[in-house]
Amino acid sequence: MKTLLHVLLIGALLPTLAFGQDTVIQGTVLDDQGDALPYANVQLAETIEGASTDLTGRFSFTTARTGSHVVRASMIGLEAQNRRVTLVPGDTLTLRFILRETLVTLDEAVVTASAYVTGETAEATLAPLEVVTTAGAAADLFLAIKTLPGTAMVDEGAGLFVRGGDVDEVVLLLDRATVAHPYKYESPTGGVFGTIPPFMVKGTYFSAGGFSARYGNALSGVLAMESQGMPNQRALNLNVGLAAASLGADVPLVPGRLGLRFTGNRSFTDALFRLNGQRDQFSITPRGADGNLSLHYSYRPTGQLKLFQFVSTDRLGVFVDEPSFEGTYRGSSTSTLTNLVWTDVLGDWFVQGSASTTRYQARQQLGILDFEPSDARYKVRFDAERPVTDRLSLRFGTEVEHAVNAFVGTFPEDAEILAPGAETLSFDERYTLTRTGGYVEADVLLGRRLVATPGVRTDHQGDHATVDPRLALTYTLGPSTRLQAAWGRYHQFASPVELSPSGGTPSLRPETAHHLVAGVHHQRDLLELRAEAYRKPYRALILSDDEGYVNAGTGRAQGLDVFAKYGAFLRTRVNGWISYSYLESERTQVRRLGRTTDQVQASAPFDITHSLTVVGKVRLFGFVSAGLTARLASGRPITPIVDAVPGDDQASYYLPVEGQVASERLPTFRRLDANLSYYLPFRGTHSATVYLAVRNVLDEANVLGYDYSADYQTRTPRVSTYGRSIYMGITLSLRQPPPAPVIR
Amino acid sequence: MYRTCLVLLCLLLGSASVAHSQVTADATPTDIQAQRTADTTVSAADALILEAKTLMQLASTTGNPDRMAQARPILERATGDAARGALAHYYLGHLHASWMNLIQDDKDAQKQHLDQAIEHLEQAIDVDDQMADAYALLGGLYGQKVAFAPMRAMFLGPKADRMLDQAFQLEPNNPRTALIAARSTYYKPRMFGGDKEAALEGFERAASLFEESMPTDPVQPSWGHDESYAWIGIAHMDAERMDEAQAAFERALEINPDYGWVRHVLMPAATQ
Repeated sequence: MKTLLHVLLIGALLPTLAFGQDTVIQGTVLDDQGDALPYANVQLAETIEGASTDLTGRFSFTTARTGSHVVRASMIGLEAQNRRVTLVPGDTLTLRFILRETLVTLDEAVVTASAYVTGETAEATLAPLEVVTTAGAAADLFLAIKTLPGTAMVDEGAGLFVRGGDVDEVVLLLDRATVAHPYKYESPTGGVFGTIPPFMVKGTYFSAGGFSARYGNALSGVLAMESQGMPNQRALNLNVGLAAASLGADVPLVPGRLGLRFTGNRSFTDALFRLNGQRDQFSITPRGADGNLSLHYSYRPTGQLKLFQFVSTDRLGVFVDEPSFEGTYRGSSTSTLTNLVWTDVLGDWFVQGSASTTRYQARQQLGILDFEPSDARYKVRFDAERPVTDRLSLRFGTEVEHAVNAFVGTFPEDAEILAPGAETLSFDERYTLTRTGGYVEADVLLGRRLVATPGVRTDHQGDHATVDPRLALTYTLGPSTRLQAAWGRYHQFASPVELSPSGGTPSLRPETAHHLVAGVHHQRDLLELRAEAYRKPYRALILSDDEGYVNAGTGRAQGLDVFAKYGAFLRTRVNGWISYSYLESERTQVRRLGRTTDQVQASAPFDITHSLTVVGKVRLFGFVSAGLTARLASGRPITPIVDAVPGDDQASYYLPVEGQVASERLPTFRRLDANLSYYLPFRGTHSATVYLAVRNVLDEANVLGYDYSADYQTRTPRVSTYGRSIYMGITLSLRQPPPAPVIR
Repeated sequence: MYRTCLVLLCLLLGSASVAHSQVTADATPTDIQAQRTADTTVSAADALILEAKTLMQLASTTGNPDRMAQARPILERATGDAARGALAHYYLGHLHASWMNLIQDDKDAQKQHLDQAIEHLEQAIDVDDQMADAYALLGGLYGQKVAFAPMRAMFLGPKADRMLDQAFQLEPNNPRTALIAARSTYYKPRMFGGDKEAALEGFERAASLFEESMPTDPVQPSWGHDESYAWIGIAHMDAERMDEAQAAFERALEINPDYGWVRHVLMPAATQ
């Protein structure tokens, strides 16, 4: 009996003794700012023993385990931390965990240095509606892109001049087909508008430098556009404005399997210029038409074919006053693009193929100049991509592009001398070029925060082959902030004119540039901030001197781009962005000295030192919105003509003698545009938008250059033809009801 | 004497000690499956899961993400249990997926929860490759991921379909698989096989499977009965069949009178 009592007593005390021999594990869990983390989990690894932290970040639990164990603290969004401890019965362990942000994932590191994306994707800087509602952009994709940093306002046209480079140093692609003539009313600075209507485009990728090995034959930048995909709902869009009318429709023929989209647009600026008192500048006011048709076929859930056809024509006649000639410039052009695009998933590979043809036919007449260039491109491209692991993604691609260029017509022997009777050269030539290219590239997640994108590209044209290594790095500082850097070598082959056996130099090597870009990108909620510095040395730039075309040019460009954006159109009452670019660039240039030339190093022709663009949009009341776009840019460098020498014995024309190259600048470029729109939804899914735009509100007469008298003794500023003007119109959108929104 | 002491000791300590599962750390999936269906005792891991389930239910009913935050560490602890590890990962996947739906305005946080949900479900399948519920939920989430990574749609779509197929193969009559597959059909673009009326049929099939299968083990997944009727109502609303929609919402409220989404959002929309 005594024994039994003894046993029971021991038994009764045992729980207390056992408890007394447990180890207490307690402590705090903080983030790297020192703030308490409530509801973090702390547990002994491989067991279910542990505790949650309280609102002050404290935790406490006991364990009967002994010896060496791992205590693990974890919290969503933060990287779990392990701590090895030795558990001794009766001890109290006090631990302090500081949890840092978790590592990045590959699919998050999508925005690379100097790249801006438009579209509906998460990484997009501008949504499609933001593109078309930007004041002054005239619903033009390229003009909207020119509100981003890295692009310069050389004039009021749509030409993309990127970080000190010329307009032809930017490659433009639509569904991977080359858009060789992307501007309407072409000019040496691009053109007045882009040929690609914004609503035809689903998204764009614009890079001002350091771009991926996917893109070749471009010295300065890339604008890659993707056209709309399979229509999911029936829609009809009608737009009538003062200078244009358009009609578009989306038709799902067999829902989910077969569909087509088409749009037609006709521009007729006569009424617009009459209203704004500018009709007398033109013999033929700018007019044109474009249309596109795309047929989409989904042959299986992952496989699709898209046949895309685009046609654009334009013409105009404008009175000009050249040194040796007063008369009318007449221009017309027609361009077409046909592209068959294939996408599918084969095994783990996402593959895309395209076969495209583009054709361009133009005629330009001014004085003795009567020129009919034509350009045809035939291109086949294939790209494949696959995620190999969570830390590695691979892609590769190849392309073959065959170009046929023809030049027929009469040119002045001296480009400046257009008067009847001046010396002319007659051309009737046809050239063919074939370029092949390929690339391999990978995204590699290194450690917790660093994503590296190494790649290499090779291109071959004629007797020349290039190999371009490239590398982009993205280092994640925090959930909202990334450091980005990119380096690469870039080549651009000479144009057909420069390579022509008659007037050019067939042995010309490709021009070379190196891009080095470093910047920071911060995005949190509705605010996006970006700042990037860059440096680009150039080699083998092509110049035209006494010897013809030579690879004698060198140069550099360096600068800083800053971008700040707040809000989202229609989502916030106020939204907008500010772009600022600082640029220093110089290139070897040819100085004309009468009958001879000289080569000097000077500021590049498009060295716009400061460019500032401010875009603001505000929802005034109800569905009435107003927008303003203000642009301010340093004038571009010009070379004054200080003298002239007779061109022939009779002094029927003169040859200019230039002063110091780039020793003067045009006056500062200023422009303010405004718009007002009223959005009227009706019957659930339909809408009408009435809009009014005032372009060049302050009626700034921006100086775009100087015209000289025939003997070059007097010069007069050539001012922009785009004075203050008013534009108005209405857009009607009729849509099939979309699926009901479900909010959970 | 020693033996008597030991018996008494066990009796005294039995209720206070942590009752570890019978299944060891090196258990095979078959063992785990057997454990999942046969073991009706409430282990410490089960207690954690039940506690977390209660908090998750409360979070969904009240729309309060804090309850999810409370439930998460509890489930994470349960992942340390060899027998219930897969189930705990499954519930963590479900928790993050539900949490994502509670924070519609914060896309970054939504993406983080989606990634976490996918990671936990993949871990659940790593541990127990026979868990139909995990395949189904994972398939649904791959589909949702397309919204956050459109460039990967071509990869994610087929992956989602493969997961759902696997779920159907494992348990052809799992009502949650039917619900998730129908939800996927509802949201999928037409070109990828989306169809609202076909989705409605799927929701109705899910509802009927729920009616037939009354859960017996409280630890096993049991969500979705009320939700299937919510979706039946939504599909009817799309087709402007408001009477049918209201009837479905009423049935959802019969099953779960505190169903805030139906009571405060869907039913008022159907009656307006």
